Amino acid sequence: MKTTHVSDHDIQQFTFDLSECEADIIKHMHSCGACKERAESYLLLSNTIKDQPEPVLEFNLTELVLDQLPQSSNKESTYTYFIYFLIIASIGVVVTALYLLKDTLIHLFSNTTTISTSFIISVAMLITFALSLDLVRSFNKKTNMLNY
Amino acid sequence: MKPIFIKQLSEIDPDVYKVIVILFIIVMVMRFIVMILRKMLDHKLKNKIIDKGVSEDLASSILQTESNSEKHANIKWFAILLTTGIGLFITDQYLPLGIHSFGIMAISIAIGFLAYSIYLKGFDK
Repeated sequence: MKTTHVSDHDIQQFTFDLSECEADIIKHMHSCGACKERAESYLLLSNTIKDQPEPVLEFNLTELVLDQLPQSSNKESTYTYFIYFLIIASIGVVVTALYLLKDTLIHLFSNTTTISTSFIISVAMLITFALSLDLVRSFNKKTNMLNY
Repeated sequence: MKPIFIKQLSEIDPDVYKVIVILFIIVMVMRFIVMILRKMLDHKLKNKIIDKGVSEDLASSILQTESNSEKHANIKWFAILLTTGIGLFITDQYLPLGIHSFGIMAISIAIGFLAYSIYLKGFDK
């Protein structure tokens, strides 16, 4: 058992984290009145701080921040509609072109043998598959960076 | 004057044009699929960055990694085109086309990507 008084750090450890405290210190704390008194004063101080009401702002912060945020203007929504219009128009052009050229496109593949067409398509699919795997690998690497 | 070019153009097999158009369509479809996948993964990654509330430094370093990977794109395409070309050359030596041709192409493309992967690992070290 310690005969001299324990340090402030040890008293705080005894008061707030008893499980980490050494056996010698616990024995001293139970036998020494002065150290026990200091431990009680730490506990009182801690409880007083905990009992303090949480600080509250006198003004409405949420309202002030919301007022500062830029409002979406009509100009932006017109721009968005214009983009949608362009997308729909381009899809329309592609579909119309495919419809008008359907006979030519069917004829395009008619003279080539099935094996050569499937050979070309399978090579393209292999390359696409490998490129996709590369993209997924890169994505996983970045996700791992986020987790650590 | 002798119209050399017109004569030469008229001698080009019409099937060549067909092959060019077929290849163009296939490349467009491939690019479309890869682009859609890239956009989806980018969107997912950006959402994760926002959800996790990571620090500005980490977010910028992840985005920096994205731009770094673009630097290796030329090496990637070099590997793909070289090995595809070698594969087509070997396939040409073993005509007519058959199952073995698919095997040759699959192996050569796989070797290309393996070489690219080894290059990336070496670069990371």
